[in-house]
Amino acid sequence: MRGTEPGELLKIVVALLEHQVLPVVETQSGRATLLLSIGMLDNLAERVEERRDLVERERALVDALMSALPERVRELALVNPSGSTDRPAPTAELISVFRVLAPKSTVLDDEDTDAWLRQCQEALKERTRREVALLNPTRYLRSQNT
Amino acid sequence: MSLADNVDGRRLTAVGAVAALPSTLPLAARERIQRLMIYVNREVGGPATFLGQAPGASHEGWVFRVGDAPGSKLVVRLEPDEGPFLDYDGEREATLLRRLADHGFPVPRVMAVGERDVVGSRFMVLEWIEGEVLNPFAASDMAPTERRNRAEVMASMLARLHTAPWRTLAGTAFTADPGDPPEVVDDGLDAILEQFGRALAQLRVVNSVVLDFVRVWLERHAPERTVQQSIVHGDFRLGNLVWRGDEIVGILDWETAKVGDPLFDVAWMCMGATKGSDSIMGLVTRDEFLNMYAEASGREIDAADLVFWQVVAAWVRGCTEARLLDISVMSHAPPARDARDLSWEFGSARTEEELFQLIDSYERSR
Repeated sequence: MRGTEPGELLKIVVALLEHQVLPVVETQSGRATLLLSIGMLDNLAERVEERRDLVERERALVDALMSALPERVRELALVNPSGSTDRPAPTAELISVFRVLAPKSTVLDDEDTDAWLRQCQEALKERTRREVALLNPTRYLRSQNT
Repeated sequence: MSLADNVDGRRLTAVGAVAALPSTLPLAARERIQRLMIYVNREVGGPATFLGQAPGASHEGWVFRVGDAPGSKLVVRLEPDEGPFLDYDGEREATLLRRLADHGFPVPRVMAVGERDVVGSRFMVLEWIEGEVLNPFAASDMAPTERRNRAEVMASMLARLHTAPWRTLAGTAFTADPGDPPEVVDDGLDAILEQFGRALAQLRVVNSVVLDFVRVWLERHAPERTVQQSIVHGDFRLGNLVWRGDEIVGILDWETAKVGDPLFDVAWMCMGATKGSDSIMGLVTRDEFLNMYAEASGREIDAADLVFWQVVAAWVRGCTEARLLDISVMSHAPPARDARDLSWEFGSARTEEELFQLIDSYERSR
């Protein structure tokens, strides 16, 4: 098992439970309980791998948006220039930029700011789409809901 | 909604010992209830009998019976120390409730307003309104004619509220600046953005990047809206209405009421409905409800303005969800994440998805 990714390990466990343990459980309550457990593990297996990818994608998204920050907004938000090692967590930095812009800043009227905000909108919309797709039920929860 | 008329089959007097209250309640809660029973006995009159906890998540509330007459139930609702609503003013709510009642609206009668010296929080003593509270899931089991009828009744009640004389009802307590001349129209958007922006700034662990972005979006597009004013309930939905037959006999939970744009209430009713064909609380479609409201109020609804206020409403909901989650997470020792966390994440992701769908819809309409 050494070197096996956590998600793969969970899928191995799910397969073992499903094909080797479940067939020998005789009582209906026992089967129902075991199916519920298999469903939770199956759901978790999908999320462990996707969640790691999502975190990496979010970091890349925020870095790209912060790199594209218009100079006037960067000055307003007192954001460190790209490449500086003394930076807060990327998402927190992006949030702080939005909070500087929010209370009717005149910078909102700039064309550069408008273009950057549209870029943010598309990037965050795509991020949200991936998040919702990730959180949709996996096969066991779907079958239990039908 | 129903509540048993006794607790463990026992009637408790106003001077009953703390130990006589259900042991399942924390000791601190039992002590508060004991003090409230003494208060109710003194201020409202008659021996108070403890019946149980009031429904609802935003406030701590306890239900009592005062005297022996049928229908003599009341609710004592405490102001939260830390809850979903910032800027809550109980005295302002009590004043509005009294004026709404004077104007014939079906609201709980305010029987008393208590100060902090009793139980450490201010509280309100309200009449309990008997009737049925529906949930959206129950509505979907109704016959189509009943669903439509209830939607029409709700639309009519909302229209009646929005066309009522708001200056008389609200007085100066709700306006941003009482000194403003009458021609200044303030639909409360700035106050909403400031209040919930502050809630976002107070988050300690929850990621609010989408909510913070949407606030900027609202600021950018705010000048495009038409501004109007009325009394706004702030949380008008099936869960806050008491029915007797097909009549609304109680409108509950006015803690978010304000002077604002009536489209906020309409948008709140349309929560989750990003298209005209989407269902409103399992009753009718969004377009059908809007037609009912327009006919009842005599007001034409601008499509873009409605979607703008739907973005506001969904954003307010998202900020409230984030605040509640943040409070919940920080109130415990650092927990191991478990599968139940998925429901919170799913809820916030779906809210964010709805926000972007509404934003796209707004931008296509302009």
